Amino acid sequence: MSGVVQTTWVWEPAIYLFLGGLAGGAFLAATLVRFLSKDAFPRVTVLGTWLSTVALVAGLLFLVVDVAKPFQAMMMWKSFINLDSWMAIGAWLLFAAVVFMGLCSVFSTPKLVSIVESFCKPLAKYAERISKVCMVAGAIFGLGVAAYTGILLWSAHSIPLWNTPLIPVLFTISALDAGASAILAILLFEKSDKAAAFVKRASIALIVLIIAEACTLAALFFLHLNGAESQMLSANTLLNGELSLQFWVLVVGVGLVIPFVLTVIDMTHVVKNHELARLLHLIAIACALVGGFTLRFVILTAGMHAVLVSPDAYQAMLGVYTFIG
Amino acid sequence: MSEQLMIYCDDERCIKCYACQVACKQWHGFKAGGVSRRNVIEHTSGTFPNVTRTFSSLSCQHCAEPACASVCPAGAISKRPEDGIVVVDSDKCIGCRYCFFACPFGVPSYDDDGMNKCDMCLSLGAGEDGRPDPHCVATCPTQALYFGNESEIKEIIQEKEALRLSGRADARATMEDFA
Repeated sequence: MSGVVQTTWVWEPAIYLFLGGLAGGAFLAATLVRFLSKDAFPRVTVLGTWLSTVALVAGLLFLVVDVAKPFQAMMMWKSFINLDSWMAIGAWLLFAAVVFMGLCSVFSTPKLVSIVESFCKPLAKYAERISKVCMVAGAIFGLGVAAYTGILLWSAHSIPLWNTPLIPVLFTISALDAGASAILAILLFEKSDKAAAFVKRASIALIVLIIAEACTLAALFFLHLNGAESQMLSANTLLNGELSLQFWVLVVGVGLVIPFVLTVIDMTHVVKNHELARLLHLIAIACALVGGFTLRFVILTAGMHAVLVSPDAYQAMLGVYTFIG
Repeated sequence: MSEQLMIYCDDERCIKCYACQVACKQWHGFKAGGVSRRNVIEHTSGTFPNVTRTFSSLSCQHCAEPACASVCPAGAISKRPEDGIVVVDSDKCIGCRYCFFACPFGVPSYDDDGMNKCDMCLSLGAGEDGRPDPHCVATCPTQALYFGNESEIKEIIQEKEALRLSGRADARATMEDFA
């Protein structure tokens, strides 16, 4: 422990929380694009589902690398048995999401379907149906994973900064934002009028999500700055303390303001050059992803125990926790 | 359950000498910079010239309802029914460190075997009275640490409080803390 940031969960868990959210959001966005466009963009479906699956598996790898006993953790039936724990619930949610996302990816990829066909014809016959069912299931579990990354922090009740349902709300919105951005990046390379219409819709969705995220962040800080001493101290670590540079520059500036401005510029059609417009979109998307990761990193590292930042909290808790019942 | 065993730190007696922390590390054979089961902490309040520094020795409180146990995905943490000591099963623990964030005191620390925390020196064997014999308590040069069951500790705190009310001591722990 040093200063006002915690050093128990740092890079790996932050990357995992980000990739989990990105995977869930991107898979949901790919599902929406597929069903709303009535399968008009098979390439988006293939790339989108694979992107989500790879992101989720990569996130899982970061999670596993971070624990003290990775191989024991992989024996999930032994290591995740306490279903009162959100960590265990989340692990099973992730497992289900990986299975459905992976199956959907395989059965959406024509080349892989033809390989399946070579050794099991009847299975290949139902490829499209399997891919669709798995996509819906994957989107539901993916959304669950995205929300779970926030619930995990919320349910660690001893950290005042995290102890509010606004954290899962914030993480879910940010996950949808990152996911929709990633799918938009793929959509930008589709050349058709229908694709242009979807890019426009996705842009509107992104603007709504950015505004929602900014409002949730504002609500979070409003809550903490008007809360107990320990809440205020943790919130100030982000607003004007050790993590304020990362917070204001990368989360607010790069993650929210730049994508918002660039997306609005694009929607007003000021930029006529198609290539330039696409470049601006891609910059906005890259910025949104950087912001999404930094958001999780700063919220995670600013998560200090009340007793370690506030003497009053320490005295109060000694009595409450030791002598219950 | 028979009575809960507990260790109590009188923060008026603690002088921040770290003897408890060192004793704990030595008896359990922990390397410097690694696992630490007991930590001396300091809180500063007020502004110059009226600054108060309070020292305390903090370790597992063996909570009545351990938050670490309820969040442990592997079910590796449990509370012994016979004396209320909260223990970790190192074979089950995967070392995810979630318990650190659930613990109100941020007590759990970690090594390659997973979570490591105070067991009131259970692992070093029982004392003459059949109870474990916490070495931090035995070592404390100012006798700021007390070990006993719940009623014994409550008696000590009540005595302190009586002294405070009679004006003979400035005990900070009050019964309101234990309501």
